[in-house]
Amino acid sequence: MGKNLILVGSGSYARQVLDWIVDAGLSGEQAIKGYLDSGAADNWLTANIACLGSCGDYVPEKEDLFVCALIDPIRKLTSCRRIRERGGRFHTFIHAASGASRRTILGTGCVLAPGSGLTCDIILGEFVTVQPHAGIGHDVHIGAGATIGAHCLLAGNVRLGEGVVLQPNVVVLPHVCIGDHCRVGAGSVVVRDVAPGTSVWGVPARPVDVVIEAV
Amino acid sequence: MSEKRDLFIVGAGGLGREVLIWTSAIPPEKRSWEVRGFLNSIPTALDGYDVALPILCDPLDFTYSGDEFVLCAIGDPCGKLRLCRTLLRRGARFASMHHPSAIVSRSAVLGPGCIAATCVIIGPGARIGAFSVVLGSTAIGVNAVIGEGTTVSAFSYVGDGAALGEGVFLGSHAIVMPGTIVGDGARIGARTVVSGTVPAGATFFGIPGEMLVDSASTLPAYGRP
Repeated sequence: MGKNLILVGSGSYARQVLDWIVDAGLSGEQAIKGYLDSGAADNWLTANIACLGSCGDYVPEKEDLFVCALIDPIRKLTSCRRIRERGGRFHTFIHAASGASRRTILGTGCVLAPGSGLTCDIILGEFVTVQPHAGIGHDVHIGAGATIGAHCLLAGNVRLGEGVVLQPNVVVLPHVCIGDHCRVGAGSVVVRDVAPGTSVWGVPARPVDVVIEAV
Repeated sequence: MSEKRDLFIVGAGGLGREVLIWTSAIPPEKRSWEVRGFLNSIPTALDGYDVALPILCDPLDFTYSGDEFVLCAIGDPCGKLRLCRTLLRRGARFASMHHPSAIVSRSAVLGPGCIAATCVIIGPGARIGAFSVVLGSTAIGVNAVIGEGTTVSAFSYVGDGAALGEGVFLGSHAIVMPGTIVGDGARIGARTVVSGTVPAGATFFGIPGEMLVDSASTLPAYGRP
């Protein structure tokens, strides 16, 4: 187990993940080594935590333990995978107030926020981010790099491909498959399968050119 | 052990009764206060409910010594802000509380008179203005700002860096995308998604949220009686 924690990412989500990790308590030998710049800049993070270089260039050292602190799937799948391919090890962070229950397989580098709930027989790929109060039902499979927004609800047997983004408060009905790199807009209810690379939004969710973005 | 301070709950409606239950979730050894009753303009508000504590009087008739605490349990942002500011001028001392199940970052700031209900998550650097109430299972992001006297209903989401003005109302499951600016007195309906800028006093509803054009005439204007 590495003892020097490194946040992969420098945005506000990285600050949030750091807050949860510090709150949970570092083990005796662990320390925060710094963050890797992802282009975004949280003012507090950049002022208080050491910058160790960019996500793409950093060469992992022996005692490093990385934490995936990115939201954007493309960044996760490029930056985090590059670090892993260079021998970097990732921490899978499960907040104490997250309920990850029996027979759940978590890929490396997943981050489960407080209030998130996973039932049984779930498979999460690597670098999956589950945000506060998201609920994931039985037999759900989620591809690598996906981001599940706050208050999302994935019913039983749902399949999410690689790099899927569910914005906050999305409901996905049972057995629905959402293809690789789809984006689902905030508040949507997804009632049927979504082809890879499609953006959908609304109640019921329908294909759109662009879903709502943060300002 | 020193004597506990008196605490009064302003408002004996549904939210007042909920606040009473949330205060009782805090273990007695961790409180420096004890709830003694409610302040409410309608003396019969608790009739028919199994509540052991009395309604003492109208909050405007109470004499505030500054030794007692008050908690604000009023849901409507408009009336709440005016009343709380009046009570503050008369010497009332507002307490803030968060339920033990809430996860509030150490770097988040809760103003006086704030209430964070069960399972609320408040991120680092967030600032919750005075007299605001954040209801169950809401998630508030990093550096988000909630103005004074705002009501955030259950299961709402306020994204990183979003800023709500004073006296804003968010319905349940409202979604305020990261970086959104919501003006004073705006109302965001249940399960409504907003981003960009919401003008002061506007009412938005739907996915995506659309402004209801006749809202100014049908809803009470912010800050007026």
